[in-house]
Amino acid sequence: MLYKTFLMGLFLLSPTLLAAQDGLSVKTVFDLYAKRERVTTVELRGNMVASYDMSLYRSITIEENSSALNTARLHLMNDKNRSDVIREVMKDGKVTSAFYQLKQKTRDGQNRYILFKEMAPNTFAIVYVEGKLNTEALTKFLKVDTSF
Amino acid sequence: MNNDMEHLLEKYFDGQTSLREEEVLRQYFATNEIPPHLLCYRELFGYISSERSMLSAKSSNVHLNEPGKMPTGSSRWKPTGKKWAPSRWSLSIRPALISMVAAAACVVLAIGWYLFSKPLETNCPKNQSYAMIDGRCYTDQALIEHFLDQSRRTMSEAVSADPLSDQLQELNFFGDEFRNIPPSQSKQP
Repeated sequence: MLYKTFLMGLFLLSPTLLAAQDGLSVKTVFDLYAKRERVTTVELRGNMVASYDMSLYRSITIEENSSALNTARLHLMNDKNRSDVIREVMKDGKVTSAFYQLKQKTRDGQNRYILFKEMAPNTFAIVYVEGKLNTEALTKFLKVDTSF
Repeated sequence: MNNDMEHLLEKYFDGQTSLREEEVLRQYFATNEIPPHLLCYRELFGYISSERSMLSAKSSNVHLNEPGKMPTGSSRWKPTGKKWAPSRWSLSIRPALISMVAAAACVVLAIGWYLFSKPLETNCPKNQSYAMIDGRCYTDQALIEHFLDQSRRTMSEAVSADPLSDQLQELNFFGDEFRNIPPSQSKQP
């Protein structure tokens, strides 16, 4: 009986344990929506981002998907509770723009950032960054004038 | 009489006749005293009557629980004691067969669903930069940089968002007439 209860408890806790290993709630949004229609994902590693002191840059842009937006906001809220809020804009009680730094660093001590922006109704983007760069460096990287 | 029949016919084609009224119609069209303008309906009711009689003849051959009598046209019935009863095959194997067919159908449906809901080419390289658009993976550097630039432009708004000025703009706090006043004029003396 005790053995069964233990197994049942382990089964029920397994999603929590798995999430704890990764420690990033918005990863679910990437996993769920990356391969769908009207979704653009960019993942950068290695030389392309090394010069900016980044080891990983992941972005996802989802167009006209209200359920995805709701899902993203829920996961964003989870991550916000474990983050330092650097900048956040809310409208009608909902986050429209966010810049968080996760308190938990990567195993090798790198900083982790989450950015969120609702560009249009039900269209939004999330960026996840890992690297040694600080907030200012990331802001500078993102603010570089890319229009030419 | 003919008027009654015409009225009944109208009701019949409107789907409003009762079973009794339909029986009256069938009996009427089975007789030979049908006026010429209604003769065209005779075949219809004749066909319905013959189909009904065929169906009733078939059903009378299958009396599943008729005690002591073997149903005609069935080899799946075996005598048990004094009565005929369904054989073991029809009682145990047949439901199992139906279940197996149903399970097979479910498996086929599941495979079909998996195949058709499977996203397009999604084998992006691990530990390498890529862009995925509508489920398709691209490793072309120029394309990746293009989408990276788009992403940076979007997020530059997020990192530089000024909540206070946004809110003031939304509230139109100072009104449009004050927007074009140079700073020197708006200062207090």
